[in-house]
Amino acid sequence: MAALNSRRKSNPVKRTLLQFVLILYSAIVVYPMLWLLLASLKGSAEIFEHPWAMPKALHWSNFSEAWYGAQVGKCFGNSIFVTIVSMFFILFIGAMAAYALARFTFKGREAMSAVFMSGMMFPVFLGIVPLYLLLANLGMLDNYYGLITVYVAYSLSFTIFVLTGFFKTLPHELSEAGMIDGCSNFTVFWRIMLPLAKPGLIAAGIFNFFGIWNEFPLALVIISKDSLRTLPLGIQNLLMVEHYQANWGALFAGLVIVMLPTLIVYLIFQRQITEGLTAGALKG
Amino acid sequence: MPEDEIGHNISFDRCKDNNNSCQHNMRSAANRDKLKTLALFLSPAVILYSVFFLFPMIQAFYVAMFRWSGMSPNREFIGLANFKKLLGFESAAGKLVATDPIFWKALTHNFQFMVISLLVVIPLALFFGSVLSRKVWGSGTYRAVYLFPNMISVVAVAVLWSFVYHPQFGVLNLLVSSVGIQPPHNGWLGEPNTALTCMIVTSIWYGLGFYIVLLLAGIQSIPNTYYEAASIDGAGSWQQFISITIPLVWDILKLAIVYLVINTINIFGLVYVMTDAHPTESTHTLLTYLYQKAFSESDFGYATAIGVVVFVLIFAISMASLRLMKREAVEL
Repeated sequence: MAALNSRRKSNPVKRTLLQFVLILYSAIVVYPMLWLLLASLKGSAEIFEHPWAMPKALHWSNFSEAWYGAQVGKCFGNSIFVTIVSMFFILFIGAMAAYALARFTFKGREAMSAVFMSGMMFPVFLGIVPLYLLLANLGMLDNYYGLITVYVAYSLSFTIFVLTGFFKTLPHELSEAGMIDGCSNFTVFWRIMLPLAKPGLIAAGIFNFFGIWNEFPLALVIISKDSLRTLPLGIQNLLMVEHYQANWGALFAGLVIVMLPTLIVYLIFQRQITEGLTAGALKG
Repeated sequence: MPEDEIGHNISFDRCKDNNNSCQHNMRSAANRDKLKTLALFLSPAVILYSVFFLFPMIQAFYVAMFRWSGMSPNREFIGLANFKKLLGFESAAGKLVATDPIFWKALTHNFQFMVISLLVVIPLALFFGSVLSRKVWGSGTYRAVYLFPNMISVVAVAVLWSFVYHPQFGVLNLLVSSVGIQPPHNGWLGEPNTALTCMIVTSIWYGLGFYIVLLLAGIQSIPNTYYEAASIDGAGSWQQFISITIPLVWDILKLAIVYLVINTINIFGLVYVMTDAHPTESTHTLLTYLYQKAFSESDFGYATAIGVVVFVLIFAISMASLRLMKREAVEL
């Protein structure tokens, strides 16, 4: 990596101008979200009459109305459940496969890696009709099993790609030492290699979290029962309902509730996310 | 890295100094053991991936050749007729008319998404990437802020922006009325000739940060000495940008463009939500049209044919753009 600290000194006028442009775009990014936050604390009439003013009184009731009345709480629970269970299986199954692909030589290994990688090229909706019929035949439509299974299957390509790279960098000697000590292959994997691959698991986990927490098209196809809706489905439905009822406060509160977990995870893992996004691109 | 260094064979020899038969027995036992281990480690992923991902994708090419409505078992093999209807033209009243005009409109909308995004996102991402690569006050914070929209659910983004465009209290109304323009009567998203542009703007707001971060990383990996040398030779910022930055981030630029192309063809959630789940002729994109054919009209074969066309399109356009931009990247 080059040291960039002393890159070109520009003159103060130009520097000020650049700062202005940077702040302007920040404002464009932040403003709609800030507006949303304020609107989520206003009464419905107030949103209409003074859409740009600060809220006169804080209507925290919007949040309870969204959570209980508009079923956002129920959707939130569904999303948490689906995301956690999916992530567990994705990382576990993905790590096992990646370990085998990275650490063993066997016939057809290259071909198998290539088949897994090719999954990142297919558009989500190419196989949607056959998938829908398959799930219908297996009784997996409109339940968690179907949704989670599909999420795991759809996320494996990316996860195996990231984790294979990670396992390849770990030293051989450790697993050999474990084998000589009489550990089974699985024990070596579970006790020695998996803990060492933690940074890789975290990276893959973060991207899968955002992918699944925010996932919309597959959930739209697979889930139709109200009680099973994940948050994106719930919010989309709420928008359609509120167009007729004009209870905007609850809708805005619902939106804040969807965005909050992503904001928190983003703030915690911001460095890993930015690095992860670019690492693949730079090495590829 | 050479292949041999990566591939790690677990059947390492524990009896190198012993006689041949011991070696042989140990080998075959270790081999059996290895096969069992491989099966244990790989089968869950292979089974799930094949059954629920790969198989439906491959099956799509076959399903696209049927006339097949709904869950009924009656399906009729019609060869390429779905594609003929989708892509074909017929003459009506002496004029050549598409047999499926909505498909062509949807395709045009995707192209509008693609072309406008390319023209706006790539230059802006290069600009912000270059600026943030310098020692600018607060550059880390700007980067974090710019990337955040990318982390939000596309549904939340779509709902949020339908309020930016809201006919009664949207911020856009305020902006345009302050310069004396009359906002459209039905709202920005209700008017056929503004709806698509509004959605394109939203998709740019949503995606730009990712491309900034991508190009920023590329620009940051360019050694500073190149710029210093150019400065000494009297090259200005613009000249340095054209003759150092662009050639040295060319590979990442290519990648960014291919991503952008794929993303704009795959656009679905944003349009679906911003049109209240009912896109019209003036707002349909390829995937919303596919979804409508499959799940509102139960025209399974036809919908899958659209999916196949989308796949071919993505493949062809990414290959073409890689080919067009083929130019040796400067190795550092």
